[in-house]
Amino acid sequence: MVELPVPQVGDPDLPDLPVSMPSPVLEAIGASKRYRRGGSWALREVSLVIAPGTITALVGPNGAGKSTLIRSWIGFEGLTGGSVRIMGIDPTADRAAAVGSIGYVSQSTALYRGLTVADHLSLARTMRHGFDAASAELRLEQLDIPLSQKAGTLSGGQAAQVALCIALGTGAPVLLLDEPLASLDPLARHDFLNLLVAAVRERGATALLSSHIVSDVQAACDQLIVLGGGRVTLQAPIAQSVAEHRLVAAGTAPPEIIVATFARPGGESIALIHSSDPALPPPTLEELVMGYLSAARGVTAATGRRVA
Amino acid sequence: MSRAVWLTWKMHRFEVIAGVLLIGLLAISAWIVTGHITSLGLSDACWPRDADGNYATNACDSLMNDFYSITSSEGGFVRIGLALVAPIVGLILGVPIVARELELRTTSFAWSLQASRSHWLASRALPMLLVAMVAFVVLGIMGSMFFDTLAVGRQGAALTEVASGGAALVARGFMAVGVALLVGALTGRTMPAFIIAAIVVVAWSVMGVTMIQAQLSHGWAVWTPSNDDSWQAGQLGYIAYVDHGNFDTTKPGEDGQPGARFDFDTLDREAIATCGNAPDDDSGESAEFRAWADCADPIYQRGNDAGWNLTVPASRYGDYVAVDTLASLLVGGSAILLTFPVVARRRPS
Repeated sequence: MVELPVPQVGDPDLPDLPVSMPSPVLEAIGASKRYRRGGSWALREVSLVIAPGTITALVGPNGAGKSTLIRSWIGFEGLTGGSVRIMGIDPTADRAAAVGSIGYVSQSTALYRGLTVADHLSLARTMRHGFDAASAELRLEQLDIPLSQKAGTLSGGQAAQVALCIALGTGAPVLLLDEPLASLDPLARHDFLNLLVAAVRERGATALLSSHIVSDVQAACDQLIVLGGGRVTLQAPIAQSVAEHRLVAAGTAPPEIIVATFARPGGESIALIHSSDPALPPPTLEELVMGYLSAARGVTAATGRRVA
Repeated sequence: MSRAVWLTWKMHRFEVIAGVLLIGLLAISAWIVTGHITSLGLSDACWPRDADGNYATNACDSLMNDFYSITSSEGGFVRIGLALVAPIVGLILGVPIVARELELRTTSFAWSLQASRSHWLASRALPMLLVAMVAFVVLGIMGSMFFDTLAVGRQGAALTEVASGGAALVARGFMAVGVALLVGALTGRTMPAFIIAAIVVVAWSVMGVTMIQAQLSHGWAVWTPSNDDSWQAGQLGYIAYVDHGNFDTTKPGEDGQPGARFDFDTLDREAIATCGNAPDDDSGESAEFRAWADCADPIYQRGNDAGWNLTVPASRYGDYVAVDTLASLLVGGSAILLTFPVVARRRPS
């Protein structure tokens, strides 16, 4: 097995924390993972920190390693190299403490098909000490999801909302949401994000939302992490990221400030550059993400509604 | 706790109902057949049979006919059921506890809520195990009653039916639950787990147990004259046959054998040495042959009287049951205990 170098705090590879930044809630330090010896890397030396009280979008194409990274924080995946921490806890050393700090919504939002929504709340109450069933019930009522309905008869959006309400009911300081929007229609995605943002802001929690639907996360999230090819290609506040980049026609900018060149759907070739020049048009979040993913792949890509 | 049990019941109610129904039907069937046999009033007075195989009285003949009629029809079905149902129900109840949750991906939901996967597994497995054990105990009692009535007609449980009643049946069912639980956790797929667990349980029940029984039989077997039919007078005879031999009890034997081992070649040589070669007379009517026979017959009669069987007396049956019970409990308990680290290391799908 190839031993990967594990960056330590203070290494140049680690993103710099602002001087005033409190202790990070989520950390990855040189996190690497591959599922088979000799296989491709799902994560490759990923180092990042997420500050408390933020809602961070983890964006990347399918297979970028988003789920692997999230599942490593909750102890569902062991790493091949490096480490992750949640609230300073290494989930491989103390999984119980790590799980106790997390409210988690999985990609499949798999609920027990034969159990009612109320049964799920009962289940959560038996499994998680201090689970706030009353608040979960209240949220579900507000969402018009009947407690007596069986999970197997819920729509995808309703199932995701039930899963989110249960994750919120845990009262956990950290919410990890692994592509809960993937199979939802636009209205369901809107409702889900509204519920998420309101609950997280109200409680001062920290949320990490992975998605490959860039347009949805823009309104809900304040931080952005772009993961491409198993590596972090961009981590910054969304507003700052957009403000510090511009779009120009391909071939018109000096190479040293070009992030990537890619084609728009109409075929027009454009370049994403590091610049705050007010005379140039800023990119949309989708174009920004597209640029960084293109840079990670080293190829020209066409923009689309989805990054993938 | 009661809420957790209720939710476990809701998750697994179909297999619990199916298992309890299977065991309930078989237990009732065994009870009915046991009642039929008991009502015959067959007793030890019908034994022993005479040299022609007739029972003590004509009434006994009639009773035995009725007895064989029951045991070869509905009794036969009960016998097969008692051998198979407990392990099958054990598999039905044990496999889905972990395998279905992994398959349907509900483990992601559950394991993200419950800090301790051991508690999660215990909360799922213990209620199922409790239901299974109660059902197995009921079936074990009915199985024992059934075989007790068969024993009156000298048709008691064979060694291959050690686990068809009593504590061994309960233990065999427990073993099946344990193996099914472990295989389900390892595979994470219900149907493959069911098939693999079934293969393991059958392999253990047939090959594993047979090997253990063979070892025990060699240790517990005793030499008995082959013409000893004293068992017909009230005992069950032997439960396992190990070997046969001819022994000259007038000469010392080795390794606990009743005398010096010999075969009919030895007698042939002795007859020739004492009486000469047998005259060439196919009819055996000639005076010459009769004279030779008068000389040789006592020699060959020694061979007829010298047949011994190495068998395990039926009184040892309880010892086989005890060993089978302990071995099954050991396998099942180990499988259940191993499931905990497997679940702890398992990646939810």
